[in-house]
Amino acid sequence: MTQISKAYYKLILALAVVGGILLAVVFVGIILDVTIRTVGFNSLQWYSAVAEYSLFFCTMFAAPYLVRHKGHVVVESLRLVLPPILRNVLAKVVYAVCILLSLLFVYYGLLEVIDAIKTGEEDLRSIDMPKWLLMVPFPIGFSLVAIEFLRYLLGFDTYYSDKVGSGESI
Amino acid sequence: MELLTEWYSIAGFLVGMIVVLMLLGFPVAFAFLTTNIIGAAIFMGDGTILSSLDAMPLLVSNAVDSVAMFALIPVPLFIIMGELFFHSGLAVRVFDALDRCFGRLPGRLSYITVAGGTIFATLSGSTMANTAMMGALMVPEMTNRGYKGHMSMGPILGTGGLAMIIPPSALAVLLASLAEIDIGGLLIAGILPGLTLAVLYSILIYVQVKIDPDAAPEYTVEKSTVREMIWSLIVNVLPMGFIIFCVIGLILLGIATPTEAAGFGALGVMILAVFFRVLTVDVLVKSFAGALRVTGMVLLIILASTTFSQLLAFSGASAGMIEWATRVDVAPITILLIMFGVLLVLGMFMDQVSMMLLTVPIFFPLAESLQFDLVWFGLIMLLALEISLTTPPFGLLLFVMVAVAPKGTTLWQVAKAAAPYICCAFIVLVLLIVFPELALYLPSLMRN
Repeated sequence: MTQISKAYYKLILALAVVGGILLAVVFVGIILDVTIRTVGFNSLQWYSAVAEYSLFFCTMFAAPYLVRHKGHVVVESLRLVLPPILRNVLAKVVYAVCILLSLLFVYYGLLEVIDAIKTGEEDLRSIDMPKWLLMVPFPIGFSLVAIEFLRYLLGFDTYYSDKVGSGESI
Repeated sequence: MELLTEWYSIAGFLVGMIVVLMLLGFPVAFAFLTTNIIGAAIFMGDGTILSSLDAMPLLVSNAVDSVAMFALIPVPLFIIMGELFFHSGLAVRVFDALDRCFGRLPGRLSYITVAGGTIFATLSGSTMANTAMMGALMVPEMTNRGYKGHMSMGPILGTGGLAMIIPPSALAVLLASLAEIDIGGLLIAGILPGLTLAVLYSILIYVQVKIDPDAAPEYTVEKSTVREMIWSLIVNVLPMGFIIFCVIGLILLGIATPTEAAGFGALGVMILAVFFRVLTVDVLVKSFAGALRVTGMVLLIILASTTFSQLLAFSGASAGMIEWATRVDVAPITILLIMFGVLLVLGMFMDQVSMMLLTVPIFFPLAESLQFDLVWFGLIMLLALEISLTTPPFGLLLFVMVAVAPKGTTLWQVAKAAAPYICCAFIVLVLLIVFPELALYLPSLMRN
């Protein structure tokens, strides 16, 4: 069991690392694009599409890691005035709803992927990308998010710090 | 369902549901997603849960389009820039240099905080990072020197929020992208009001020290010669001008778009870090990890909230509100102040990104119908967001400050220290209303 959970955590971490690398690609790409354009060559036609896709991919790839590390913002002010038992019940309800929502998105995301494979639809931007490839991170991300909330529901950990004040922001 | 026929009941229902879900402890993104599904069932289906499933394909395809947007690229880039600036230690060098230059001026550490915070605001797009950094650096020093709470925490809370107004500001970019207004214009519009606010903070410190000199006791400072001061500024502060040029200069000169300038800002910090020999693999990893954390969180909220604004439009709430606002016999300024007040109230328990996503689809069409300049209105909104960061009981910066302040500091003490600085922000609000040019002069130069 420990081995599985370790391997599973490595998967989440690896996806987050891919997300970080994609951010680096966005950063390096924009510098290259402007530099090439400024010295008189044609700008990188593919860059804008790659950067846009990267934003979506890194959102989906970082999502499970952020759930594990309590990185998605929550407001804890009302919870704190509730008695501990009610607080726990409320937390379980929140986890259950989040799991349900995530599974809905996994299901409908998969339907979109299958549909895109069948129709061969492409996302037309500065590069044409098969739509299924673009959509795949969606069910992957949300299925891992569902598992992460399941961990909380089963009592392995709690998402809440039980302190006033919320998480990170810009 | 019969109750949900008027625009105010629809808007109240949708906004209220998100607020209630947030208060129940739903992660913000999931509060939006839940509301979207229930809202879709009511306004796009026949009100049954099953009919909400009909809207799911729309929600899924919206998800990609909402974040795969070129206009959002400056958000992670400005965050990378700020993270690099703090993790590389360049920020500390700025403070050290300023420390040499203020001599034995009464309240010197408070002034240094305002000067350093203003410089940080131009080098980092993150309000939270600014406040945490300045709090950790300056509060222990000020406490050791016998500074009272309002002289140590107040300037940090005030200048921490400047990062939201003075460019580059990741929140300004986000606001402009969501509201579909001129990103460069909004960034540049923040320069003069931001500097005005910094000047008001300095005047406030001067007055506070005059009233109570013991609040910031004088102490012996190692004397620096003029030559040492100038050299320290040349070595540690002047190079930061390169970063400012990379961002603001390139936008003003029309060489780079705000998106591209964000990338060059981050590159500028990297080049300086190489120059100062502080760029390590560890710094890069920490900076990109920090940027991913904030970017992932913000973009998931955006992903979740896009359908929300469509729901507001589809249900007729947005159109109803605009029709009401243009018909009602109230001065536009009153509606502006109501919107400002709503933001302040929301800011008492909500983070800035969530507030934006909740209010932009309602406020901007309203502002447009009242014929406000949208860049000017965007800046007013940023000012409200900045103030709300420090309003008790749940302003985010108050908690950042409690976390880095000496043990035993209460939230009430922090809030009291912030109060005079909030007053300064209100003065800037009045100035912006009376003299809109304060915000619009520089963007007009850029357009010309």
